[in-house]
Amino acid sequence: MRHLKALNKKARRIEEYVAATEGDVFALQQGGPPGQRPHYPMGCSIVFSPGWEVDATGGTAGLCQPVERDLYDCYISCYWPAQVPDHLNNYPDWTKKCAAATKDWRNIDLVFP
Amino acid sequence: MRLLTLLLAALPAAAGTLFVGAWPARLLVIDEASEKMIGEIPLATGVPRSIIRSHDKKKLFVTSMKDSGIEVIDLATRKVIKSFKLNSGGKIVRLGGIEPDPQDKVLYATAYTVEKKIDRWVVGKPKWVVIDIEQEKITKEVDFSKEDEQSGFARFSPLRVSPDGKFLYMFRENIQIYSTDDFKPVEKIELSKSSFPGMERVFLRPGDDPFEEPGTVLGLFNSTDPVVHRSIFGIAKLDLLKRTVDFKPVAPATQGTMGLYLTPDRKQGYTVAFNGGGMNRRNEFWALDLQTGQIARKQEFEGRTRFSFKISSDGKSLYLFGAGNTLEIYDAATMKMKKEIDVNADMTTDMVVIP
Repeated sequence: MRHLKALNKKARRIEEYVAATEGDVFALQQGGPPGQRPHYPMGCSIVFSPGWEVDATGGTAGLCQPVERDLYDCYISCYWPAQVPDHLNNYPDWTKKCAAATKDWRNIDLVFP
Repeated sequence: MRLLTLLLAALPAAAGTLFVGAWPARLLVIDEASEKMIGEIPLATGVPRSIIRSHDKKKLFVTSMKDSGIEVIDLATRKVIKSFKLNSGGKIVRLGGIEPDPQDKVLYATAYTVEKKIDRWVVGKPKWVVIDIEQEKITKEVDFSKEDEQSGFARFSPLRVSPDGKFLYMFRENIQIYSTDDFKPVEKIELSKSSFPGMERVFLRPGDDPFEEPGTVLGLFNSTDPVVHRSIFGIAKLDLLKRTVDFKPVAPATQGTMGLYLTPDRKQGYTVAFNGGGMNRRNEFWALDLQTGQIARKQEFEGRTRFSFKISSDGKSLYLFGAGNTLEIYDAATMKMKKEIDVNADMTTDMVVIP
């Protein structure tokens, strides 16, 4: 139960400072709080932010480099519906002209859902 | 020394052929001797997802995802001799583990169906299916047992058939054995209650090794003892007929390995071991002496983030492939990269090495 309530600016700043030390936002170089990991799902992202998948550490160093190496396998084996067109039902041919994504990704069809 | 180098360079390279599925709908054919892509086999049913060598080593079974296609490739002519789709109308079949019977006439698989109704999709329960290659359809369906149904991963677990064709082995946290007649469970090999002293838990997965002893599954395992929870890794050998597992501990465990692949004389095996994670991950090739059960050599290498691993048909080259359009070839003796082949297509399946 909270017994104290911040009334002025300085008190609110102290409250924000204390809250910041207990929150789950940490600079990556700090390595995060002990015993905690980023709250991203490992592997494929299910949200539009950051817009591309992240690895188990919340970064991108554990992902394929360049990212195009991962394009096809992500939606075939992981099924990654938010960020790529739906190959199974609606856009089966969206990559028909693109065999190697790192080299000819410009040939991928534009899709307007 | 210089003469020895020249002599080694003059030795013939491996005479095998590599087959790997690639985007958008084909199998790539790579010659081991020239280390070049020598052809491709177009597929009729779409992007290949898995590739399995038949037991008679004369055919390949390829599955594709979009329409749950099955294609049979004759290795002698390198042509598709059979091609059909399991999806029909609004009914989609999603395949999990697949294994041909010893005569290569049917495929045993775990699967579930997804049916399109007028206003919704209905996801069916996981089941065993028998796919008849000649009749080009599913000829038998048997529901999973309650226990298997509750295990979310049972439908994706790898399968192996016994040499007499009577039993099917499913590799999970334990090895479940089913009758191929009615798919009823007949026995369970509990890996946690193995003969290896002090073992708390162990994981064993079958690979796809052309030089594996017939009727056996050779794999690497990690185990933890129940007292101080120290992890060790070792080599496990499952006899599919006797249903016994022989464990040979080797060294403290690493974070992960990529399966064990044997040289033709079965005296040595190679694997890739990982330590650390994310940006700090270190990859190492390990050569295991299977007679002494020791790590004979190891070498760190800069591998790409995600890849698959195989060795050549003569055991003298190590292959890294997948997640992209390049096949990296390492010399097994020095464990240094000697060549990178651009196959000009993203690879979507495992690679089969045909000696």
